Amino acid sequence: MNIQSLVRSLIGDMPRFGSVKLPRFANPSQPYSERELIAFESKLGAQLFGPVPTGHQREFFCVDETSWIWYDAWRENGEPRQTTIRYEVQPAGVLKIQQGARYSYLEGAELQNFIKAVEAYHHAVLTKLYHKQVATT
Amino acid sequence: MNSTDYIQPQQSQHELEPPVESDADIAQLADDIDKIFEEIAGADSNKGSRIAEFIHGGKSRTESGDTPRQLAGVNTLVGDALDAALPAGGNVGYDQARFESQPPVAQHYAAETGQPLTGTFARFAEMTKDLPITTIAKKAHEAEEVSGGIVELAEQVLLARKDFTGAPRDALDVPKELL
Repeated sequence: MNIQSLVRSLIGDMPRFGSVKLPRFANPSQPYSERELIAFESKLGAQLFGPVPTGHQREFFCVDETSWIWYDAWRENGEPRQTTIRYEVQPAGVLKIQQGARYSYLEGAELQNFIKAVEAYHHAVLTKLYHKQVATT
Repeated sequence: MNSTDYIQPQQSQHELEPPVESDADIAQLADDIDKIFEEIAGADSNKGSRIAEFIHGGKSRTESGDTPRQLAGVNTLVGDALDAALPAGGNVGYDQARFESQPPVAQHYAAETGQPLTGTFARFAEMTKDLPITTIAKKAHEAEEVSGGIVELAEQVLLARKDFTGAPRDALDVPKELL
């Protein structure tokens, strides 16, 4: 599954995601599209979790203010496998949505890891891709 | 970054029931509390603010001559529970220590009225039976702070993304490893 079909399968036709442009590399003479920028961000995001094992495809990116996607695909005994997780940031916490309509709020170490991932993504994307200054606390 | 420092947000992919069925989840509890606050506050756009003001603002139930329920502007089971849980009669100002010592309001409602709580309120009572109401409110507030922090970081990323969306290619020096 490529990243375009992945995002479509996750966000469907929900109106609030209507403005999200999916990653697709355009003609070099064209200006940057949002989908290209998300693809760049996702490459940085994927690196936050350590080296991607050979044969794996990994994506981690911010969709909008409240949605994040983590995706991993690989082959096992010749069969394609994949895991997709969507994180919805809500006032009550971070809701983890997995395939098979499995829902749970992040808690404990998993919540802390997600927060670290978001912070690392924010820092990497702003400094390495967009060359912005990031305030340190 | 050491290899041991890598983040593993996908770990512990335990399978839980949908949150509406998950009684032990404190974040869901916070959500429930939020809904209860919302009900207490009615159509108030600052949901929960009126009850939060009542709980934390040091108001006396006799300052205005209103009951807690009237102060909160509600006519619900929770309003009854508030009336039952807070000091009764006299010129008794808000007493944090005394309030902390009270059982959670929904439980107190059941104890005072002898009426069974149903639906959300029954679940609320069960889930909060060991927690003072101020602890619950604090946990809800903490969850909101965490989410707010994440949203703030995402907004900064989206602003930067927007800056370069539609920008000519020479406007952004993309690292080679990303191309």
